Amino acid sequence: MAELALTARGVQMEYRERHTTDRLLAIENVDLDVEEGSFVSLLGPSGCGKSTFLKIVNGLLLATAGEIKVRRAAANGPENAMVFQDAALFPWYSVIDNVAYGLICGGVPRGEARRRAGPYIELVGLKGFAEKYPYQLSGGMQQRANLARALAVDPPILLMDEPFAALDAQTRELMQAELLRIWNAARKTVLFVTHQIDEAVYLSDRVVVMAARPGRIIADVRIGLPRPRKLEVKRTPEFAAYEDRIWGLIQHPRPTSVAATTA
Amino acid sequence: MRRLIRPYTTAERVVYGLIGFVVVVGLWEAAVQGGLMQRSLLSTPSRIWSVAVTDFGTGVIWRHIFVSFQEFALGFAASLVIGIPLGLAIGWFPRVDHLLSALLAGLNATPNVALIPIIVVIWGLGLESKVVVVFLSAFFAVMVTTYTGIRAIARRHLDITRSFGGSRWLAFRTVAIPSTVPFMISGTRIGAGRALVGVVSAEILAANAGLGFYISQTATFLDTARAMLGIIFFGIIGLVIGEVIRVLERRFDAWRPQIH
Repeated sequence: MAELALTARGVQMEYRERHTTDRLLAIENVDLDVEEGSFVSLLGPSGCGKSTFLKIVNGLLLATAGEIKVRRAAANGPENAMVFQDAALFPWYSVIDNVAYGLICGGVPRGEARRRAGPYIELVGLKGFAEKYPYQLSGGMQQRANLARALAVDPPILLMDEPFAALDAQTRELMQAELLRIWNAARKTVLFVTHQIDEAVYLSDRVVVMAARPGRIIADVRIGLPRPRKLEVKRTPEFAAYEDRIWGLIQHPRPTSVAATTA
Repeated sequence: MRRLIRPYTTAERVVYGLIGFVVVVGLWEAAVQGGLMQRSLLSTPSRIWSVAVTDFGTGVIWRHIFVSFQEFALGFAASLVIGIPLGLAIGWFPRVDHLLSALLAGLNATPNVALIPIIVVIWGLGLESKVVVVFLSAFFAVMVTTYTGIRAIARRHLDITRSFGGSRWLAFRTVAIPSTVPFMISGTRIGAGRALVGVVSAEILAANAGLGFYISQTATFLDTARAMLGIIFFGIIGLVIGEVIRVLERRFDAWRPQIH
């Protein structure tokens, strides 16, 4: 078995509501292992805590209980990097300054950061757009830049928070295929949050299904579709079978029902 | 064939603007000449023109313009130099906010004109008192607008710096300041208007030079043509300042899509 890039044990996130003593359990007791180099999706409806979990891994939020262990690649590099949802570029920076920004946050001088950003701009297919501003880019191109910024800091784990949710259907499909190409080139461990079943199945080695109220993991489905995957794989019966199975898990979150739907 | 809506060219806009101007000035002249209004109370454009030629010729008015400009420039510059950094600091550091906000809110709520007599007692009739009035008039608009800009920073933008492990100081420089620039410019625009009002009020109330003084002096002697000349000059100054700020705005806002 491959080494683990990330281990989460008993992660819990509880919010205290304002002005009342009510507590909201956003995530309850999440255990998760992510193998080195694998592509794992967290799939679930809104409010299941998948984005919250990602933010805890990233360090934007502090869990109220549990622990997360990450295998660090470089001694002084970042543990992970986040690709945010839409509109996550600074509108006052050009593409290259946006892509360099993660490095600058890590203390790299601006000139060197810009130099190191160049190859990543090419990798995500934005060659020739380095000096453009975000408003001059389409939604898909903005997300390419967003991805390049995260890749540029060379993190062992790439965290992606519904990065294609705001794109139109065709662009989203193209970006999914592009992501697999880039993932193949960059060889990163990816933890990908989405609410779209087909996206999760197409991209992932494993789809971790979550349910809401409280947010928890209800299933862990290994996707055996061979790689490299072309977009056409989405129209095969094997793909449809995975979609049906996961859809069943979401509709009937209790383990007994799971057995019934997968039989 | 259907005609497409085409934007007006600069030349067309200038022509229309001139027509509007000529019509209004012509009606004014005609109304007074035709006896619709008393000549002694409201002057005519032609009369204002002739006193303008005289006073610019003798140089009398230049001194007043220079004095007013000096008061405006010094007071307004001080309001920017102090107002923008203070607005940034109050917005960014909660401690500074708690320390100063109540005090500043109280001072802001006081109409500035009410302070003029005291300011004159302290600083006299000359340049200093006007600079203080202009400063106070513009300062709050500049500071409060800058502060509002800091409070309006998008959370998702701050999250980016945090997510990549950047320091709070880096977030201040790379997120807070750029996203507040449009607010700083708004503050500058509002402040410039207030500063000009400050110049006029202070000069009309207590001064021995300046365009406001020129207006109040000439109006006292029912020399309405000269009073109107002073007023028109203030209007022109206001327009010039607005234009300067527009140029400034374009210079700092390259990353925004051009709308017009």
